[in-house]
Amino acid sequence: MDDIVRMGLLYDFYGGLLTPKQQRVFGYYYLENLSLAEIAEEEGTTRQAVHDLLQRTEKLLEGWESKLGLVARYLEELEAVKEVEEAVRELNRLQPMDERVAAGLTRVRAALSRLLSILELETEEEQGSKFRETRVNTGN
Amino acid sequence: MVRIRLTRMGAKKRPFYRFVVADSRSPRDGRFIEILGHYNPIANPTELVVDKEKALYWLAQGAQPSEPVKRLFKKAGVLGEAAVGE
Repeated sequence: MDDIVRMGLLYDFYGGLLTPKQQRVFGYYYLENLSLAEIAEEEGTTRQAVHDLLQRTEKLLEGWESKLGLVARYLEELEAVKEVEEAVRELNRLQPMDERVAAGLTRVRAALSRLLSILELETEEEQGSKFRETRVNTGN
Repeated sequence: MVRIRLTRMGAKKRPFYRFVVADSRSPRDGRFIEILGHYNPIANPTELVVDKEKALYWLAQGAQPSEPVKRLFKKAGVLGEAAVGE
């Protein structure tokens, strides 16, 4: 994974544990992609000081991740949920002829939707359309 | 100086990025001159879209790409190996 993406995710999970200054400078660099020189000017400090602060902050974040592993876990959950989503989408395309199958599929989709919100995951499917009931294909 | 940055958009834990052309004199005001494309690293497969023509135009004007932008432009085939090495 791209360094900038990884650092952004670490920041999403552990950023709240950083000091306001660390958060600010880290955000300038990794979220807004300012250069060291631009940040130094913004902060009224030197390029070297910004560099050192960033290095220390990265080390802190990586340290928390190595102990807690929230980002790694999140990415695995995302991967697994996407697979389930894909499978459900395929089942849905089959247009069930049986009431019980349709009801079952509706429940699976509701459960998946709940799981997504608990895990704070949102995949393409969820963004586009809200949960709809699966109906029996009556042929019209 | 004009720079090309990769700025993060989207929500917490659901990042996507935009390639923007912006003036380096006022880095913090969030204004940009033009959007050159986007990058979604969480999508599977990863989504990387760059308007090559616009990107090459700005590079020719002397716009400085940041390191991540260079790397992704290379990946998108906008920049050749030689241009990136400098």
